[in-house]
Amino acid sequence: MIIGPNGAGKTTFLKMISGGIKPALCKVILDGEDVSQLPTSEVIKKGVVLVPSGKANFPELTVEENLRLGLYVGKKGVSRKEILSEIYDLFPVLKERRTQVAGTLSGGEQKMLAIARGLAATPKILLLDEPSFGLAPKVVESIYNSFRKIKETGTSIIISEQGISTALDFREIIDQVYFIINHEFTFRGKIDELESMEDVRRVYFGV
Amino acid sequence: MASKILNQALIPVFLVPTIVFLASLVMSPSYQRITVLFLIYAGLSLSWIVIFKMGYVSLGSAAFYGAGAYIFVYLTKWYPSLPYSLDVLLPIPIIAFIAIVVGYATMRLAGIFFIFATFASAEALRQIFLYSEINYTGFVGKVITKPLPTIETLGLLCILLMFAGLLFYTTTIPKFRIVIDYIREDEELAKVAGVNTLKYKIAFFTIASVIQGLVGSIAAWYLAYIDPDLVFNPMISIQVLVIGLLGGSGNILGSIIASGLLVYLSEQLIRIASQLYLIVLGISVILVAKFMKGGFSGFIDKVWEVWELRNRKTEGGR
Repeated sequence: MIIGPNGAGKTTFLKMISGGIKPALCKVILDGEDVSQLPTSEVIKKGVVLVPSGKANFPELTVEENLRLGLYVGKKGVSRKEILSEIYDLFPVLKERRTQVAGTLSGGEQKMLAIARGLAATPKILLLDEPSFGLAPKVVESIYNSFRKIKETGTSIIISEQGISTALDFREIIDQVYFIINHEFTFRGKIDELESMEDVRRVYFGV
Repeated sequence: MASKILNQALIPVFLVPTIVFLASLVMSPSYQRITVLFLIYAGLSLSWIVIFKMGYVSLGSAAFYGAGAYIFVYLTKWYPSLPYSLDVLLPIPIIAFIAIVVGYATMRLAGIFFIFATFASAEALRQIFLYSEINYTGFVGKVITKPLPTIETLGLLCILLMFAGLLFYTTTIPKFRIVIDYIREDEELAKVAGVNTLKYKIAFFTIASVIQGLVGSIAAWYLAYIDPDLVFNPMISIQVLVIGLLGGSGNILGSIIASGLLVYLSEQLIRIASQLYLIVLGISVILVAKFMKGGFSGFIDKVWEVWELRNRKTEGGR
């Protein structure tokens, strides 16, 4: 999980590793291969998928059509039906609303759909940009619970969050925390250590 | 289901041009000539619709129509030994190349900038051919010695209309439809979602342009005379745009009906007064935009839907 205040560079970092921004001075290495200059469509085929924050679905298409695009852009040679049923198992509410237009879903359901679309591309690493943004605590909880199941399938997840509280609430599913401020990673380690860090205290608790 | 069949099935793609061709066989020569014009515009505007579906309004139809016409005529002049039927096919790679270059340069632009860029590319080609004619051949305009007979022209244009219909059909296949909808609705998001948007855009733009170019080649063969002001005429692009908007992007029938209507209307009205046609054109565009959203094809779809609902009701009642 990546934690950092507004404008620290979280989104930029995620876009960089997913191919949205081409870095000039550094490299993104995936399985020993430099992927930093590849277009997004290729990076996704290599197994890195970004779910952007904010508007991440196509409101005029149905839930299933949104998911189908995820299937199309993903790796070849996987059973699409199987992936779809796995996703519906993970988010049963999406199965109920299969034929509904995405724009009519609630905020939480839209977020689930965005995550599901990311999963449909069968990523090795799923990047989530502020998945809790603008959602009710209960919805955040159910979304984070789904991360637990996604982790079990072997997919790594990189989450960026502004607030430290979500990280503290779900500390048991977070293996590693990075703290970013002013475009620089200043901390890497366990969530408990982060709490006591001076930078973090200054930014989040004002002491 | 009926509207779905109308939208997606291949039947109208082949059936409509066949019917038009068979009907044209029994027409009087003057109506056959009108039908040729109608098929030219139907082919151009059906290809235009494919570009329009991606959210791009093109004013560059004349560029490819004219390029197809000129490349064909130059080929007949430079290689007199080649049969004309080969000269029609040879421009395909050249037009495809032009389309890829134009597409690569213009498909990154959005909205009004794209419109101007395509318009400018048509004008640029017009000037290039005008300049080259004045300076290298000494006179403007080219004549073909063996024009294509009307019936053969009708046949070839109907086949091209089938290809344009096929291209339209591919945009309704789920995979491509979703990609195209994504590109139109939110291209940035489509890119993040992993769609190689530029590849799809250029591919569809190129194929549509090649069909427009082929329409130009056949038109030149039939008309037997071309000059830059005739085949690169911006009015062609504007007419295609108007037909496309009138027809709508819902199904292939819309733009075919619209082009038939407009071509017939223009023929009739020009006899009375040439300005009258433009007035009627303007008024009809306003009326369609106000009362028939989605153009004729949207209207057809709606009629189908109502018809279906009524059918379902009577079936349920029984």
